[in-house]
Amino acid sequence: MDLTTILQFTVNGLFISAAYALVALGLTLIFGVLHIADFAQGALYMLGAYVSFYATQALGVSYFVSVPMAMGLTGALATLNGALVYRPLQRHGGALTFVAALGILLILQNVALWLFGGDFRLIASPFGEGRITVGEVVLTHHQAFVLVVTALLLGGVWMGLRYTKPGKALRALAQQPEAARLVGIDSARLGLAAFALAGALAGAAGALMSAMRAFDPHIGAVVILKSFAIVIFGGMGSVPGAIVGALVVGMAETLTAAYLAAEFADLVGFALMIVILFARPQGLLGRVWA
Amino acid sequence: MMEHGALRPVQDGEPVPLLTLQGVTVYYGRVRALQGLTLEVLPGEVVALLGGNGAGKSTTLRAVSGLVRPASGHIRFRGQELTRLDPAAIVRLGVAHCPEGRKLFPEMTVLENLELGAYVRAGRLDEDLRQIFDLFPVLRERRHQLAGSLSGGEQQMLAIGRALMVRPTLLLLDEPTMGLAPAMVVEVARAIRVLRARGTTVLLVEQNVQVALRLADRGYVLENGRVVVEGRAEALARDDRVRRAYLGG
Repeated sequence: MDLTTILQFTVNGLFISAAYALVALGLTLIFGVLHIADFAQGALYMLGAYVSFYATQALGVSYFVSVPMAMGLTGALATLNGALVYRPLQRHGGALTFVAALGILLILQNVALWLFGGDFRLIASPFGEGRITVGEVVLTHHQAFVLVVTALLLGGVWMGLRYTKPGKALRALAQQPEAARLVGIDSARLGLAAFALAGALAGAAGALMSAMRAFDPHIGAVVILKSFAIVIFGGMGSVPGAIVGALVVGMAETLTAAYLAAEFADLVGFALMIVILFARPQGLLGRVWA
Repeated sequence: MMEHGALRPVQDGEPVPLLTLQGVTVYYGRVRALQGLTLEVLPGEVVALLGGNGAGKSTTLRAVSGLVRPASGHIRFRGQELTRLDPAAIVRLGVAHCPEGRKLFPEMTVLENLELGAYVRAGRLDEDLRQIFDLFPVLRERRHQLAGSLSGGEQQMLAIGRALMVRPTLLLLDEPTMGLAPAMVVEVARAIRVLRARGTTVLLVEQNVQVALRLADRGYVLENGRVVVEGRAEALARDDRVRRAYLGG
């Protein structure tokens, strides 16, 4: 395998990883703070794609405006799910919220099927066919845009968690919920903030990816299964784990598709997850907090 | 007017309690953890709660700070009813709870833990941090270390420091010496004396009865969720029931 090929796969792998990282980051935040496996985030990815598609196609909105529109809508929807569905169910335990999450995913998927039809769609990228070529390695302008925006979003969330007061409160809530209540952190309100943030990230991922990869109302289920595998793989509730996990799975999928067969690509993420869990049940970067 | 003195809620010269618990009953599921508990804490006092495992000591503190909601009874702090307030509202009133087992934020630095202690408070923290670092100098040295990497004694100091960031009028201290080496027990006891000298009122749960009665002005002995003996600390130290039960005498 020559250097050009390796670099090309790295670029393609990074691009796929970007979507996984955004969705997995939201999932791990919600799981860390609320202990809910929010599969409905998959539907928000799908809706993010449709918002951007119709905003650009039907309303003539600029693609660059349609991405924040998608984020706003999916963030709001995630917050509504949190307040109206998950919060009332949470005291009855994890299994119930999980079933509810699957329910929301299926409902939104079928509403989308009914409203938008089952055809595959592709958002028209404002970058068209533009591409950067370094040697023989090709990076489309849209891929570059997605990588930059993803890096900004991930970096922004990381900085926010590390340095802002609500960010520290979210971490406190994930690490030691009882002490968080004792210092006066409002867990209900911050939980909704985690939903809003995760929803916006999922919506962004949908709007960003879907100018390169065609989508239909079922895209959410595929994305969420893999993202959830990544969260387990990286360590439930671990932010660096979600990002590292996304990179590993994205790269592994790209290499599998190239050297084995494209049909095996989807398998590889789950196989990796199972292998890791045998060796480290707490996940790659997960910690067991006493 | 003087003849009707008995009708006034408080008699002349009698201090108004800072904290009053009146007939407080708490259930965990179907288990009754507190059965009509009644006690009071006067301003500036250090009051010890004594008793065996499951007597209801920690539950009493958890009820005051709002972590558990009593099924019946009243908890009043400076005359204000606490039983319907959530923990955030109670800590805003100046009641800080340093919980059993320290419950630090393990993946955060000493400094971040202390800052979060002041979560409900606006304004600069420099002066508070200075006071806490003066009280526990080792925390100043370790301020950029993760809380989870500290020794047990240092973690306890940090837990007390985090509660002090509230600038509490009333400090609820749950088992501050549990599992500590003797030198650390001395250190924590010293800190409690300093707080008391500064006028902080302390409600102390402590399984080490000798330490507790040396620090406290008064004490209550709990059994099965109610008070069975109460009195001045010196008197409790001599009380046969207390000695038999807890001092092995």
